[in-house]
Amino acid sequence: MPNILVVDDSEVDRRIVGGLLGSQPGFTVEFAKNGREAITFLRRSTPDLIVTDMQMPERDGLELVRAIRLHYAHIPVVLMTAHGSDSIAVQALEEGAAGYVAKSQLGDRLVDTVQELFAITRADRTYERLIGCLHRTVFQFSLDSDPALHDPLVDLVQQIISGMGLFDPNGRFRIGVALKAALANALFRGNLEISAKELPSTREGLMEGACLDLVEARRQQEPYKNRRIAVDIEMHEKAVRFVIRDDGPGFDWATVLAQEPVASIGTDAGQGLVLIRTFFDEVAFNPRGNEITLIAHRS
Amino acid sequence: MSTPSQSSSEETRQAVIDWTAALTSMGGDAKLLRSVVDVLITEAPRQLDAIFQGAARNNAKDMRRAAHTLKGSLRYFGAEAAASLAEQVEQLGQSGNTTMERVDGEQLRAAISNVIRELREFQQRNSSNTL
Repeated sequence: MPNILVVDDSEVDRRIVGGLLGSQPGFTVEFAKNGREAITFLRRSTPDLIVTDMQMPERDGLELVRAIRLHYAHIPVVLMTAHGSDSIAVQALEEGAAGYVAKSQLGDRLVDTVQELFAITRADRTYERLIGCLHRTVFQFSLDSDPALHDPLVDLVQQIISGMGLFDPNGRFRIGVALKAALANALFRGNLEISAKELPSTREGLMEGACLDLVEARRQQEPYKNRRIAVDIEMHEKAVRFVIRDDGPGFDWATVLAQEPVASIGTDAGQGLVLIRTFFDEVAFNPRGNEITLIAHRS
Repeated sequence: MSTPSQSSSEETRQAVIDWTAALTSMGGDAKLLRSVVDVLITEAPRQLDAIFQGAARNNAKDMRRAAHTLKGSLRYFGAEAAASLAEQVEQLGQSGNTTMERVDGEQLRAAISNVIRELREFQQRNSSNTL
């Protein structure tokens, strides 16, 4: 039964977040009023996930992320960001947080984000020992336009990373989250050319059928229907490298990359790229803008 | 769920809360909305007091923090006029200034009072309703 620690100094926020998460079957929620209380909590109990505010008295969200990274690296942390805390949130993502949700979008996105993280952490241990003997792995996939292939692919990568002992659990979550975002961009924005406006704001919304007609229609239409996503993956003891190429027209990455991640943290469209840019050490596009290369080095 | 527009006595008074936005903030959970309304009725005056106490003690940090919390709570309810006044106080505190001269403190008090009145009306309307 997943146990979630919610850290926020606002009684109103604790009630909202506790209500949103507590209504999910099987979730239990506990609370701390600031980073100091959260650390005290962690000395006696280990939650499966932490959801934290950024601006708090007595150890803010950034200090909490740093402490967790140091002492409880296996616990993923989701940030709740407000207007005005964008730069500190980007810093926290760079220092170890696994994801973020804008406070203005808690009702729409919080449950979805938390459930995605839990899905990523659900590691199948079947091949753990065998994978532990691997030194280098190369995969080359050519995916059709079915979003149902993304989760198994991310799960496979998670298992290999875990089995090869390449990153700690938090590093693994972060790579999984960013890889999922990159695959979604390649499919929806790249191959199917669905605009940010047309896409539902949540993955849950997409799964529940929002925009499904458009996705299904484009999957049957020229020029979209024969497009594929090439995914080249290389994992070895020094780094993991992903090259994801769609058959879409490409996008104007130069403009996006020219902006600091903080400029797009509050926007719907920018979320995937914010995660990708903060979680990977190297991010590069080909000139056409339909291929992204993501590299994470082992520290 | 009853909404402000359903009450004829309120039609002449301008609504300060966007109840559709408030319900969206709660993930569409009407029970959670009622619960958070109860909390905000207690918390908003507390944060307002903390703002003025911070100003009186020349403690810009406390003033800013209380204003930040109040602003955030009001935004869940789409109470933009009150939230924007709280944001002005937050910015004042951010700059280290605790003199409330640049922000109309009475206007902020009045705005919060209007929000609380509307929250209480909601509470009364929904106390015996099943949402």
